[in-house]
Amino acid sequence: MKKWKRVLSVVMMLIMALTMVTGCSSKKSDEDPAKNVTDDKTATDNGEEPYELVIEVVNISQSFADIEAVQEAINEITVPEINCTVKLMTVPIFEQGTRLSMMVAGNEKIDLVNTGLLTSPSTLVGEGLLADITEYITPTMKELAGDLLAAGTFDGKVYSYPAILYPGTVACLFYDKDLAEQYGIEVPEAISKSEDWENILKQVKDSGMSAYGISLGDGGGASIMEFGANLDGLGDNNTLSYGVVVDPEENTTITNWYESEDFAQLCNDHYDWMQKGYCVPDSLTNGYTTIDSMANGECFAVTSSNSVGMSQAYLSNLTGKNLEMVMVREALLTTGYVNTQSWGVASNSENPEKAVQFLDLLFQNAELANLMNYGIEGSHYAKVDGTQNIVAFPEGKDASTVGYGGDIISWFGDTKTAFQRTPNTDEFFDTIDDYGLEGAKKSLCLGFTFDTSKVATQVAAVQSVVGEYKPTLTTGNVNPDEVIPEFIKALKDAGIDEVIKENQSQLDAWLKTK
Amino acid sequence: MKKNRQWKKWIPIYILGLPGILYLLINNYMPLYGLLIAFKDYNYSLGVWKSPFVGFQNFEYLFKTKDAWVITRNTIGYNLLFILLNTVIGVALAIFLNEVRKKVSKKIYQTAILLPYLMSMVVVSYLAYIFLGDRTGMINHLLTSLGLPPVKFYMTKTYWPLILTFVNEWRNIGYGTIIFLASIVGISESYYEAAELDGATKWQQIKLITVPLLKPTVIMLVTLSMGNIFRSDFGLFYQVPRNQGMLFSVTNTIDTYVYRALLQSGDISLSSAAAFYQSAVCFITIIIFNNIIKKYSKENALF
Repeated sequence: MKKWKRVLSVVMMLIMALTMVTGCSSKKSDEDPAKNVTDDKTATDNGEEPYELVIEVVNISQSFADIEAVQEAINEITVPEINCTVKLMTVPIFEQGTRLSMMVAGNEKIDLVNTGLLTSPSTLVGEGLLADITEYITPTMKELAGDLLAAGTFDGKVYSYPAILYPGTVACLFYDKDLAEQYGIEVPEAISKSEDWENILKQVKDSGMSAYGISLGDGGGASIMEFGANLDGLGDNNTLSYGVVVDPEENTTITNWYESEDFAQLCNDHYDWMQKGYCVPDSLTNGYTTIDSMANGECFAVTSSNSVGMSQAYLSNLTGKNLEMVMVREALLTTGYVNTQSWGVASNSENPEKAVQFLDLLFQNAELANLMNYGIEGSHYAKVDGTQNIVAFPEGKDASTVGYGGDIISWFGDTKTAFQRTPNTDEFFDTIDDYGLEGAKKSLCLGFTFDTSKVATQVAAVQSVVGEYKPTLTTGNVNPDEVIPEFIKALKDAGIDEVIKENQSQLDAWLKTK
Repeated sequence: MKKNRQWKKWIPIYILGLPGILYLLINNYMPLYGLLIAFKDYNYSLGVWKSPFVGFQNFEYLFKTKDAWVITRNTIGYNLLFILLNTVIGVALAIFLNEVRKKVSKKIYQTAILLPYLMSMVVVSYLAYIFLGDRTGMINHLLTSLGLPPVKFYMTKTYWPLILTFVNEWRNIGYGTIIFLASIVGISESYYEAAELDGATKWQQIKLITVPLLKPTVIMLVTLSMGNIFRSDFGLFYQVPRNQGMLFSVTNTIDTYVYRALLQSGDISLSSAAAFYQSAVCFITIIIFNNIIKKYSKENALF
C-alpha cells in the first residue's frame, strides 16, 4: 500500500511538471484565426490559394477599430489582381525599431516592412533582416523609381524600394508673416550667405518685438545652416561622422566637415548671434524643439529641412501661425533622403515575390493606395469640396476617433496620384516635381551607401565625440576659437581620418562601376 | 549500497523541484548561450550559431578612445561614493526613524523619504531642471535677485559630481532606509531594556547594540551593490544632465557611452559586448569582495 502511494506521488509530480513545461509552448497554433477565415472566402479560379501578405503599418499608437473592414476592401482589389490577401499589422513607432528583428528572430510571419523610418536599410541588410528582391522588381517599378532605386541597392542587389518617389529635401526658413508685417521686417526671397541671416535677425532684435529671432535647437541632428551648406552626409545626415561631400552634384571628394572653414564660420556666426541676443538663450537645455518654440511664440522664425509633405500649409497648421517660406537650399536628392522612408521585404518572408507584386500594384493603383492610407471613403475620410485630391476626416470625426488611419506614419503608393490630407491643398501636386528626379538636384553619390563594418569601432567612437562637442558649438554656447581645435583633435583621436579614407575608397570603387 | 538507496529516496523531492529547476534552466541558464553574440558579427537570418565569429573585435570600441578611462573612472567612482553614502545616510536615517515614537509622524516621515524613489528619472530630471535651468531655474532667480551673476549649470562641469550625488541620494535613500529600518525593528527590545537598566545612554545603545546587530544587513546590501559596481543608473546619468556634451567628462558612464555610440547603428553585437564586459567585471568584483568578507567575518559572507 505504502509503495503504491509513493508511485502515485511520483506520477502526480511528473504530470505537474509536464503541464508546466507544455504550458509555455502552446502559443503558436492559435495565432491568426483571421487567416483561415479569409482563406475560405477568397480561393480563386486558378485553384491556387491566395497568399496572405502581412504588411507593417507604422503609426503613432492607436489600434484601428475598423482595420478588418479596410482589409476586406483591400482584398477585393488584391485578390483578383495578384491573388493575395493582406493582413495589416499596426506597429507603434516606438516599437518599430525592434519589432522587425524580434519577428525575424522568432520567425513570425511578416512580409512587407517599413525601412529607414528609424533604422536605415543598410543597417537592416547588414543584420540580415531584409530579403534580396532584385529579381522581382518589375519594369514598371524600375521606371517609376529610376535612379532612386540605387539607394536601396547594396552590392548590386536590391533590398528596398523608395516609399516616396519625390524624396528630395529642401532647407528653408519659415517666418511669422503677421509679425513681419506688424514690425516691418524685410525678409529676402532666398537666403544664401551668413549676412542674410544676420540681417533678418538684427531687424527682429531692433524691432523690439518680444520674440527672439530664431531658436538654434538642442544641437541634436544637423543644424539648418549645415543643410544650407549643400552637403551629402553619405548615409549619416545626423552626426555627419562618415565625412561629407560638399556640393555633391559636382564633387565626389569626401572631407571632414568639422575641419572645414564653413563649419567654423557657422559656429562663429551662431556664437556671435547668441552673444547679441538674437536666439533663444536656453534652447540647448529647455527641452523644446524649434517647432515648439515657434508654436509658443518664442521666436520669429524657424528653420526646417523639408520633404514634400512638410509644406507651408502643414507647418502653419502645426504651429498655429501664418508662416511664409524662404528657400535656403533647393531640393537635393541623396541616398540618405531617399532612404528616410522605403519598403523592404523581411528576410523570413515566405513569398517575397508576392510582396513585391503588391508594391507594384500599390504604386499603380491609387484606389488601393488611398485605401491603405486613409481607409474607406465616407466612414474614414471625405473629399474636401472644391479640391481634386485633398481629403479630410469625415464630419464629426478627428484623428483620434476615426476607425482607421488617424495616425498612420507609413506612406503607401505614388505621392503624385494618391490623395493628400488637409491642410495640404491642391498646390501640393504642383510643387511635387521639384522634389523628384525631374526637379531636384541630384547628388553624384546618390545610390552609394557606406559599409561601415570595417571601421565600426572608429565610427562608434567618432559619433560619441560628435555628440560631446557638436551641440554646444552649433547652438552658439561656447567660443568656437577655443573648442573647435579641441573637437578636431578628439575626432582625429577617435579615428575619423580612417573612416573617411575607407569611405572614399568605397565611393571611388562604386563610382567606377556606375 | 547504502548511498545508492539514499539517492533513490530523494527522487520524489527532486521531481517536486523539477519545475523550479527547469524554470531556472530555461530562464537563467539557457540565455547564457546568448553571450556568444558578443563575439560574433550577428546576423538575424543566420542566427546566433552561424553568424561569423570575430573574437574580441566587438570590444575594441570600449577601450580604443580617450573616453575609456573617463567612463571607467566615472562609473566606478560614482558607484563607490553612492554605496558609501547610501549605507551611512541610510543607517542614520533608519535609526532616527526608529526613535520617532508617534506612529502618525513616523508613517509620514517614512512615506516622505520613500516617495522620490517611486518617481521616474525623467520626472526627476525635470525637477532638477526647475532648480538649475539657465533662464527659468529657481537657483538662478535667487542669484540674480541677490545681484549675483547667474550660473550656467548645464555647461559647468564642476557642479555636477555634487548635483548627481545629491539627486541620487535624494531619490534612492528611502529604499535603503526601509530595509535598514526593517532589521532594526527586528532587534529584540530586551537588549535595550537591559542596557537602559545598566544606565547606557541613547548613543551607547546605538553604538553598542543597533549598529553591531545591523552589520549583517549592511554587509549583505554592500555586497549586492558591489555586484553592480560596473553598471550605472542610466536615467541618472543621461536624463538628469540632459545629455549635455559639455558635462560628459563628469557624467559619462559606461551605459551612457554605449547608448550614445550605438544610437545610430543599433548594433546588437557591440552592445552585447558592452554588457558582457560589465557583467564580467561585476562578477569578478563580487567574488573578490565576498572573499574579503569571508576573511574578516566569515558568518556574514554571501556564499
